[in-house]
Amino acid sequence: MNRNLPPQGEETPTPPPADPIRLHRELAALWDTPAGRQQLGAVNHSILGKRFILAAFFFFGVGGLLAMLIRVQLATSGTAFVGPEIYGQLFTMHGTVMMFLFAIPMFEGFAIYLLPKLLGARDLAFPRLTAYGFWCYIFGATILLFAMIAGVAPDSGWFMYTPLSSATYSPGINADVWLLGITFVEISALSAAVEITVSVLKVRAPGMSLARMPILAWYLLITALMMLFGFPPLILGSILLELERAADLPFFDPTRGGDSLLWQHLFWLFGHPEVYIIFLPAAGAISMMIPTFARHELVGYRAVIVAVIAMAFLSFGLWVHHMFTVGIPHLALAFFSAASGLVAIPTAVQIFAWIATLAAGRPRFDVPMLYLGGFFFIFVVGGLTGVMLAMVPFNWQAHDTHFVVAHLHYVLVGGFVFPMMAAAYYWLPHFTGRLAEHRLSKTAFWAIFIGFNLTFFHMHLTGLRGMPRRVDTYPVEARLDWLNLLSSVGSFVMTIGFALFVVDLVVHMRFGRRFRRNPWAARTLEWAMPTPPTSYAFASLPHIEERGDRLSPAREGARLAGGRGYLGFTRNGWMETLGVDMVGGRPDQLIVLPRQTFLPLWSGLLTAAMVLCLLAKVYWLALAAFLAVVVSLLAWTGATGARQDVGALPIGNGASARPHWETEGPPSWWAMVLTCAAEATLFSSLLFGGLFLWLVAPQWPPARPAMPDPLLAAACAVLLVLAALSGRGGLASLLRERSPALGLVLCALAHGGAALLFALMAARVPTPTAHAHNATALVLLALCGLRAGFGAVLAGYGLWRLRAGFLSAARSLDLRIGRVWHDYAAATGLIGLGAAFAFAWLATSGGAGS
Amino acid sequence: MRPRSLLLLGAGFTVWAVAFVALYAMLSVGCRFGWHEVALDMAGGLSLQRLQLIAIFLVHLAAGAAVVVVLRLWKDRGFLYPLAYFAAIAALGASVFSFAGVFFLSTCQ
Amino acid sequence: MFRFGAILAGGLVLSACDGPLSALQPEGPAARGIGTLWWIMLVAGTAIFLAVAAVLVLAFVRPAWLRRFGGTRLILWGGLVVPLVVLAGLVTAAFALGERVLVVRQDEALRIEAMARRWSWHFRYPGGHETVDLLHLPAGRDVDIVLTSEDVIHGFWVPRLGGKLDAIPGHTNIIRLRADRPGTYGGVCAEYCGIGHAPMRFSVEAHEPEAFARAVGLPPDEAGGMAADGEGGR
Repeated sequence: MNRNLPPQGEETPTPPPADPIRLHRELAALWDTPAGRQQLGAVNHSILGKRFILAAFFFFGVGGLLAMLIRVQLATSGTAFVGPEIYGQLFTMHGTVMMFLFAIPMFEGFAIYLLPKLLGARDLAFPRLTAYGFWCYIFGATILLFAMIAGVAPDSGWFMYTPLSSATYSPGINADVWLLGITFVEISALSAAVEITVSVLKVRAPGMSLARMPILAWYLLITALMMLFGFPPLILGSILLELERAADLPFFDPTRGGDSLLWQHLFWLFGHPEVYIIFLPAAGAISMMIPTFARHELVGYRAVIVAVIAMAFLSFGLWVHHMFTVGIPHLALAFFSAASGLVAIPTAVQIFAWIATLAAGRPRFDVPMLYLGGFFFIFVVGGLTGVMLAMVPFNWQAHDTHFVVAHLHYVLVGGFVFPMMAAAYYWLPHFTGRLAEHRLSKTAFWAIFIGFNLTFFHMHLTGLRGMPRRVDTYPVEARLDWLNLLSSVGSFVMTIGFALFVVDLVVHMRFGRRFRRNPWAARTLEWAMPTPPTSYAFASLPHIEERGDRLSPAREGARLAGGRGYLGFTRNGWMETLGVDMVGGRPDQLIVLPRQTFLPLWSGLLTAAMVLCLLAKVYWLALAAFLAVVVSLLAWTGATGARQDVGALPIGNGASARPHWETEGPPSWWAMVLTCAAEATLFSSLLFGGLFLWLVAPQWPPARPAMPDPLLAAACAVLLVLAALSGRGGLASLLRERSPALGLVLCALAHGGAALLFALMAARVPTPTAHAHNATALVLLALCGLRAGFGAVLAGYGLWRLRAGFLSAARSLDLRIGRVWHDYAAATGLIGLGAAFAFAWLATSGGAGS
Repeated sequence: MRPRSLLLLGAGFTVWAVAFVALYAMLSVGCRFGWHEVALDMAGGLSLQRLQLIAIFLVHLAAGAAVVVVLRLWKDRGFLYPLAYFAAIAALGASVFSFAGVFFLSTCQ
Repeated sequence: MFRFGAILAGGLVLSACDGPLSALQPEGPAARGIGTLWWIMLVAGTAIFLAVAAVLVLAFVRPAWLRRFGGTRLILWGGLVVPLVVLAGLVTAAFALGERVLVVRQDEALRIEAMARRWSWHFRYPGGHETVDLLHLPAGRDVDIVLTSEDVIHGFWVPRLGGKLDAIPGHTNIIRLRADRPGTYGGVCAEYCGIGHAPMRFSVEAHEPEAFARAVGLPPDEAGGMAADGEGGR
């Protein structure tokens, strides 16, 4: 697609404030997604946010249904409703669906829908990435759903402990479905993490400095950063386990130098931050709703931000509290125990900030507040049992029992489901443009609240009286029948409540009264627009002069609709929004967003094809699909950038800015930096794995250590350095208005050579199936090779962009993004080479013993 | 303010995280090589294991305190700096709370 | 909140805490120590819960009181100072208990090997005698159970005697238990290990010393001698 650029030298004058109706028509013509088949090409955040939320709610229903089946089976000690094989699938899928297909996508949808509106932008930084993430989620979830219908759903528990999930003890396709399907879904989590981080940091309204950001944006920023560092360990773990299952590389096999505990570390290194990744967005929503209903701004705004930062860090230091009974020394357990207890403090800071806000204002009671009341009671109980479980001796009794089941439901339902239901009632008028009727809302609440406590409160006791989790029967002598029956009855009451909630929403959407603007008298920016929102969200962008929770949406909304803010016009058929200086909020670029396109759908379909080929074990076809995915992703960029320098363009209000591809730090550059950070986490996890196995695993040392050939390694190191230098050289030439072609060709060749050498060294690793050390060396070298290979692709891409005329001294973005990767690939490649030698040296100098 | 000041928000807790990784890693290494059975006479009979862990703890405590001191100097520079300062104090407290066990708990049992 | 209390009280009235697998009816020092910790935490937790609920209710019915106290002070005391004091006390107590319960020192304890296999428990005593899904213990004496697994991860748990510990392939874990008096106690597998997980139970019989020796095929005096020299394991 080519852009309609204005003739060079001729400036587009700032048009006079347009008539609101005409402005709306012009913007809608650009931003609206046409009906019919074109809907599949939607990239708009409002549409995709709603799709995420609807899909996630559907999977909440699926997970709930599975929970009902579990409760039927457990109702009495003698129930023979399903056999243990099916029961294994039921509880595995209940956990998996609720965590990966409900909670995370629900938060993503919530963030995608709301974030640009909160920040005063017209869309997120990467609309097509949003769409691709959505397709990955839907296709991955569909694979899991079909596996369940076909009776081959995963059945080793949602944390898939090895060796139970390894090929020996789970020979079927079940575990592969989990590993591949969930990794597929996680692509959407990682892309959301990059998208949310960059959008919060760069794509805001002018004047919205970090100090003026609404509190929810802080929560979402920190959550997204946590996802960026939390998901890679699990993705690595899943890749290693799938490699073990498919290619017999023994990472987790204790008979060949692997260790099942490595899986537990990698899983919980993700799994614990995950709990806070789920809780924090909900807490952010609470921090938005409470001030509105208290009619007072959030007390302790800065204390809350510090608390959230503390929570984000602490949550990465607790993962071993899921592993207190695996036989780790007491001092090590103590670190994790203390940190687990400590995380209660930032939580308490937030809870008391909310209470102080209520006390400071004149609280008004409405349905969202009722659900928030439910949150307070349930979540505090969950927090207190969490502190109990953090104490190692008590954990030894309660671990893996129904006490833990009760605790985690108090935390997750209390900390996520109740706040999100409050949020649903709070923001539903925004989605639908209708006011709630609240005919059933209170009945639904009490059914859910009573049903929930009836299910889970005494389940603490069920656990302490000796009922382990994941059992399909229990002995009649243990006298657990009445406790379980009560839980089962409670769960049905809760289900009735959720059914009423759904009916209530439908009634609302069908019969709710229409309203003009801002029904709750909120003071945040998302209400400064007509509801339901238009596709472009803001007809013109505001200038923020106060903190984001002290605005007057009604006044601002009318002003913006009249086109009196920034960008209150259209030009060149561009979909425009503004980018700001990260900290200060000064507008520093005009971001031109991509139009509706089917490319993300194609990329999603090709990725799905790759996953299905892997599941079917047709690896050559999977490789072809992988290459097709890479090509399709590169094809996205055909529509970005320009073939001539544009220079500064007027953005309204007498200000001007350059289009993003002519600026220093556009969103895509930051996205590359964040991608490198996520990949670095994955790589560090692999290095940790290598050291961990050497230190802890049985059956060491290996018979044939994998020492790379020093000559090959030296050549490889030289090539890596050359690749980075020539990448930089190419960029430097471009900036001095000379051709970067030579640098880019050299860079591509050096990367390609390094990739080949890595492949050669990997192929020479002796007997990778014989010992975990050799398998680790193989994966380490292969990963470095992949990075170099991708570097070659990026350099080649730079050449293509050069030939296509997209590069100039002013338009150097493609090469600067490339430079980040070339430097990163070289640095981590050198570290990888060093690690390969270090691992081989450690292996020869002995391991933990045989 | 430069984008870099955003990173300061995590400065204190980064020291905490590094201390965490260092202590957990060196604890495992020490147990693997039997450092808990090496008693050092010059350190009053402390085991090599406990001594190295205490050393790591104190070094990081000092680093955390240094971060607090530096951020205290800057805390009037604008919105992000006081936040970074309070986060660093919280991190220092968290370090004391999380790692104080190195003085008295069993290291390899 | 009232309902919480009502359910709790109702449960207590029904003497809900006992049962062959109940951690709340301890028969050994480890389980008793943990049980005491639990009751302390339950009382403290209930008190904290009621306090938070009371402050929340105050925010609606007597906001002036809280306003006079001040928002920042409320956050400082409720969010930081009080929880920190409570946590410090709790963590110290838990560490002290942990040193007693978790840490297995080299001494005269009797060693019994427990090997888990899908889906049964195989116990092996010092004389070489073996039992399946039935663990004999001498009452009133520390016993170290040496846990290994032949296939997947299992969890060894005798709730009335102490906490649980995993049996992990490739690793050896040791848990120290002591039954105060003779009796029969239930044991279960706590870590999901496949379709036979739920029925993978075993029972523990604690005997007087002579009866224990008879049960594991040792002459009575030899059983006593083992206690003295501490060479239990093979």
